[in-house]
Amino acid sequence: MLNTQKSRKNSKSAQDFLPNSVFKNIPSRLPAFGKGSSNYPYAVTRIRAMRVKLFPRDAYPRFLNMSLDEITRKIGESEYKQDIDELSREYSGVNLIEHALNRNMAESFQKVLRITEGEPHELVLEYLRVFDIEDIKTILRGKLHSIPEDQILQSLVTGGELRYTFLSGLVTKSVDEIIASFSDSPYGPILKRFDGNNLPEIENELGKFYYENLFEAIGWPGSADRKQFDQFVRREIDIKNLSLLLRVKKYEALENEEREGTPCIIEDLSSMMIPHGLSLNTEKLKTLCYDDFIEALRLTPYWDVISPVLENSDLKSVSLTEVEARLTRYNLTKVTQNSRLFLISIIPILEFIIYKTNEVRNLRIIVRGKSAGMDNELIKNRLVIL
Amino acid sequence: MVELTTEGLAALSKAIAIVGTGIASAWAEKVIGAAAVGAMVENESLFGKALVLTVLPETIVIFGLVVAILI
Repeated sequence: MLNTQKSRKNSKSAQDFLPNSVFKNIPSRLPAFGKGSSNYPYAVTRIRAMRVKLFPRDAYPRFLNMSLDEITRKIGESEYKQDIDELSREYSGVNLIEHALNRNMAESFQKVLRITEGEPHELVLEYLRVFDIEDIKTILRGKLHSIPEDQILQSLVTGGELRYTFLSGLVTKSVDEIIASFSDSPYGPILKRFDGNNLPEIENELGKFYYENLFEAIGWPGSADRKQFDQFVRREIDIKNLSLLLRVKKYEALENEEREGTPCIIEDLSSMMIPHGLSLNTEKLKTLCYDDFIEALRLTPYWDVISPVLENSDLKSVSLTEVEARLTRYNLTKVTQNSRLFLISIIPILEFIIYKTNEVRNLRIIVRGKSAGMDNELIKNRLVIL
Repeated sequence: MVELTTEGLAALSKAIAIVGTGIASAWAEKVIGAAAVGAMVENESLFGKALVLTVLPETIVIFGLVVAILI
């Protein structure tokens, strides 16, 4: 069962000392745990050794030139061997690879949780709760749209705190029973507001709750590595907000093109924006039309990353997937640089988690793209290779 | 009143040299040992390198011993 919210110590929070608005409204706290009870040297070295076992960057071009069967064999010879072997009785082809990848990723993250203690364990657990939230969303969506139970189960990735046995039990229940199961958990108050028609709203609330909880765990980033972790999370928020804004602004611009001569219509995105990003002023950006929005983006640190895709290209041909891939690559590069600066800290652990997620994402893109008959160049543009 | 003699101060200095370097090497071995075990769990072939690295901080206490002898 879920842990209830941790006790809130040190009520005098960081925002009381800060003149700027960075931590405004974040229920921040000073870290209640120090490095004393943690096992950074052991955990970081072990996780670095696990990081070495991930596919190197030159493996992806080779995968692109292989057939699906060859990719399955190659993956089956790697760290995914046990997952491929065990799942090959149930699945085949693309589904086999996808399930093996998801299962291996969940196992790897559970391993990270097992080998970390104290501070790194707390931080990693909070970060990995994103999988819990995704699983809750998946179950609710599946139930709402009457998706068969086995298909819902196949889509779960148990990388967070919620165990597979608990989640598989939920899948057999009704929506009301599922919500009742979470009544004692931190997600309870949000899920109670679900009335059958407001799932997108509940999903947004869960997303915001996740980040608020994560910021609370990070606390006042006093040490340099915590500051880097804090910045990584806030950059991740920026990337999510920017991807959503680009998607909506492109849609608005295309709609407005059809209604020539009328002023542009702006959708209200307030409920969808995640607060406390690093460099984006979402309050301003969400009120702008597409052209003004692109102009405003030029002033942000992300412009250099996304300008090759957005500049001088026709609105209809702008590839948002490529923009997202570029932004993810940018965030990963920043983490890689920092993991070399902060050798014994939370950063190398975080680096492994996001590299593993990225590896699984890349392999999924390759196998799904190949099975759909996509061009290699098109698949390559969607990969994030570092 | 305890009288401070040259011999007494020398003995105290020797003790500080040994205790200081002993604590320092213990702390360093703790960190390196934990990291070495972590690396070995994932890759057993690192045993030789890990062993050398783990005992390397022993040199600190040897320096302390040399200083204590010289005092």
